[in-house]
Amino acid sequence: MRRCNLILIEGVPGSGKTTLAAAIAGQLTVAGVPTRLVLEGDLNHPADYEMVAHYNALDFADLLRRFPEASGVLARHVEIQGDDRFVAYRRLAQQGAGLDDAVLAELAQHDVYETPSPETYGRLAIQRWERFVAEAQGGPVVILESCFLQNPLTVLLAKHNLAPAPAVAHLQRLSAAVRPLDPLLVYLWQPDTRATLEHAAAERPADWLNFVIGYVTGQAWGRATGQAGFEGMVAFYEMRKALELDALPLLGITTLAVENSDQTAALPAVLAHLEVGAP
Amino acid sequence: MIEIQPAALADAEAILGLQVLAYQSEAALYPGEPLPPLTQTVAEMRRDIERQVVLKAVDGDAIVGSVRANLSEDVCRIGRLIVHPGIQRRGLGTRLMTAIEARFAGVGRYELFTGERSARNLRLYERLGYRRQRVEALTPVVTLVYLDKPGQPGPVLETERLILRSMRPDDFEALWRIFTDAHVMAAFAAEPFDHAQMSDWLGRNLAHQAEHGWGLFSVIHKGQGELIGNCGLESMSLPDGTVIELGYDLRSPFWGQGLATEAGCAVRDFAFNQIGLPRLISLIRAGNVRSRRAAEKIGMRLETTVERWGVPYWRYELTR
Repeated sequence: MRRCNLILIEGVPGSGKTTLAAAIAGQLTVAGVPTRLVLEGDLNHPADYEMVAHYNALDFADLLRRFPEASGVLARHVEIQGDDRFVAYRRLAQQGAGLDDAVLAELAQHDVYETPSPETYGRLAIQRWERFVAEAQGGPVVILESCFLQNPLTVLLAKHNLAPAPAVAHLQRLSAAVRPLDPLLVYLWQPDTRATLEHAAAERPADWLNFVIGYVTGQAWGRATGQAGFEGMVAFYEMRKALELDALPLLGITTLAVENSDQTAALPAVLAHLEVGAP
Repeated sequence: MIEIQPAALADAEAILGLQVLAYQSEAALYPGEPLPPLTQTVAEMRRDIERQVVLKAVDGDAIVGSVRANLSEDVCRIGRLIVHPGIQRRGLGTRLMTAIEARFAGVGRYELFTGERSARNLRLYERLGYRRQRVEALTPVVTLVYLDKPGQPGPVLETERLILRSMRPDDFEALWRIFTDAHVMAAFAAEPFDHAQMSDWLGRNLAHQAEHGWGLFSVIHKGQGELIGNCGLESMSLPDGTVIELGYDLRSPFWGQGLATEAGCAVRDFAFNQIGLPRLISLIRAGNVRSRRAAEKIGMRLETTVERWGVPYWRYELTR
């Protein structure tokens, strides 16, 4: 197999990311290649912040004062990086740490993805990826979906309405951070973005669609462009897809853009690129 | 809070992803083996969801566990028990197994298999009462161990012309014939059930049966050898408290032969003599004279007329 420690899978919702991630992980495992598959939403995500709150040292001390009953749990589980304090609040709740709803609501407001400044978000994201790369070197092939382009671009473009140039500059910093892992970025796309999204909307629960429409059209980008509803969501993803396809050659890492209309083209293309025998 | 629910077609991708994730540790035990769970496609997963009972464990919006099973003859075959690696060893596997077994309450036997080297799986299954039956060498590396345990078939009531047995998931098609029978639905003044309504109805009764040990029985006509209706008991909440209703629905070709009375009397005796219930009621849509005759022959008496969902019902009662 070709040297590669990290496979990143990206594309708009419905383009086939999860399916491809699972299929690659299955084939690599069968081929005897140690593999770690991480799906979107994993609360132990190694490279992304999944339901993690962020404070600086002063604000965290203030949090402990405001919630004395929770302070013991928070102080035990906080992750300290320099002046930054991180609390994986959803994971704590899942482990039955006994945080009440008021504390959880407060922590959710301070989710890394809710950080008011795009610069702070960008800094935290790069730090997270750098730590991940240091840990992942020499380990199993890690397969990640959505967290390399989709998550950063969605927050930078939809929430902050950042211009294309600084958004692409952030992706270039991410790319530089992961380069030691000899990454392969697989970008799945279909010519008709609307059809892809309609397909995803039909397959997923109504809550998902409402959440996404609200997220991408209800914040800075939606206010600036006046886009709303399903049409606004289509416009957002068409814009994001165009930006992503333009950015791919500028990232300086190996990329494989696959036209994945029939949802079956991607797996053989990736296996061939990796020089892993097909089953 | 993790909840266990039936999976939908839209869950295929997420369950497949979780399956690959969960089978990584298995793959390490069997190097070089193309374990089928690792190479299953989304299309195949969708087929499993359509054709089998697939349960998912959901935490918020994430799927963190799953198990599936199907029935052939009188054996419930359970497979693909998976739990997210991040939350293993906390009892979710046991909960999924209990839930899938409950879905198939009434079968003669549960069967499953795992690899001989999968010590953790074997321990879990043996703790749940499964016993090793046979081994099968699949490849030089993979030997499968088959385990099974007897089901708890539940009560069976037999009358002159009928057998009443616990309801099972594979009764779906036969039960659906009742709820798409134009005469039956006219008596309820309701539209024929669609697939989703029928799934809900059956799921509710299987859950009731699993919880109480009894519920609505499937009614088998001995002469015809087929499922012709349902008859049994259902716990329901009314303004004056929880009551047990005796109910019966037969396909219309079997009306007018005293079969509802025959089944109802067997259920009445079962309720009073075997479970020891003090009182039964029946709610019959006002004007359904056929059903009323059966209730009276079973020995029930009209107590009052009540309104449910804006519709008048005759409330029949019988005390032990």
